[in-house]
Amino acid sequence: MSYHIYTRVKNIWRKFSNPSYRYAFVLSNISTTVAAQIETMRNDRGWTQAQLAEAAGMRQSRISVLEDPSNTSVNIKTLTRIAKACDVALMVQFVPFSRVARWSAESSITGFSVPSFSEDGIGSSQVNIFLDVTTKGSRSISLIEAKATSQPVKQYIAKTPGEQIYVH
Amino acid sequence: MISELAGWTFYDYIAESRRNPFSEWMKGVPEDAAAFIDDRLLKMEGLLNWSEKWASNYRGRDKIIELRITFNKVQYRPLGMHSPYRRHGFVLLAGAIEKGGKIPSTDLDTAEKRRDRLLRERDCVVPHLYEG
Repeated sequence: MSYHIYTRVKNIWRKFSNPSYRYAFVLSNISTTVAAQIETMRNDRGWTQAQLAEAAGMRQSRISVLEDPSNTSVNIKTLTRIAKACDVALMVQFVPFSRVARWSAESSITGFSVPSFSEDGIGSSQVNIFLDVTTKGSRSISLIEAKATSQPVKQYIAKTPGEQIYVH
Repeated sequence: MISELAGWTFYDYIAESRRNPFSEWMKGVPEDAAAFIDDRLLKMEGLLNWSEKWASNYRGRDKIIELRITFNKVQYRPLGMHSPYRRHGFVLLAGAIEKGGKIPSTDLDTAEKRRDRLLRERDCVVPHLYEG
């Protein structure tokens, strides 16, 4: 976990000690995640709202509402139709609050794309390595797509400028 | 293959007095509304593009961008601008609440003054770390 992500999770988690805050955060997370994922999946596939609506068997206006991050009214049946249209899975589960805090903070790095089944696979050989670099207050994030030869997932913070990091 | 992600980073404007006005505004917002604003900012950092439902230029004050967050029928409107110095950076200049379909002109004036200063002085920002 990078320094930025760690600081965010830590600060958000501190506020979660207030029940009003954490319950509102969870409610917002549902709306914003649904809106961001649907819009991103649609754009990734090069679809208009009307095209997604047709694929999901609903009106374009309904897609527009689902892509509104302020919309707190979503139902599982509708989401299931969107998932089928995009050929992705939908998973609904109860989780500890810490997982919501981490997901929300980490989504700022990982984004909201979801691959369809044809681009998916258990044991997929592709891994994503994120380089989160802050130099003199300016932050840049790069994604290195690499082939995995094993499963280790590790955090490493470079201690000196120019330090070489080897990924095995 | 290396490709740059299109994620955004939020920054807070820092006044000459070293105050952080956006953070101070957040501390005055009800806790549940603050949760909505925090979550919204986190999600916006991970989005490639912001549609008008997330953010838009304020009509008549096109240099100011309003983030559109509704909670309990209150229209919270963090005001900001794209960073002139940092790619994919967004500076939170002020916070406001829309009433009767409009943001109070004093809040917009304040945001514009801070914008003007930021264009002259590039270092009057700090990363937004969700502390407020």
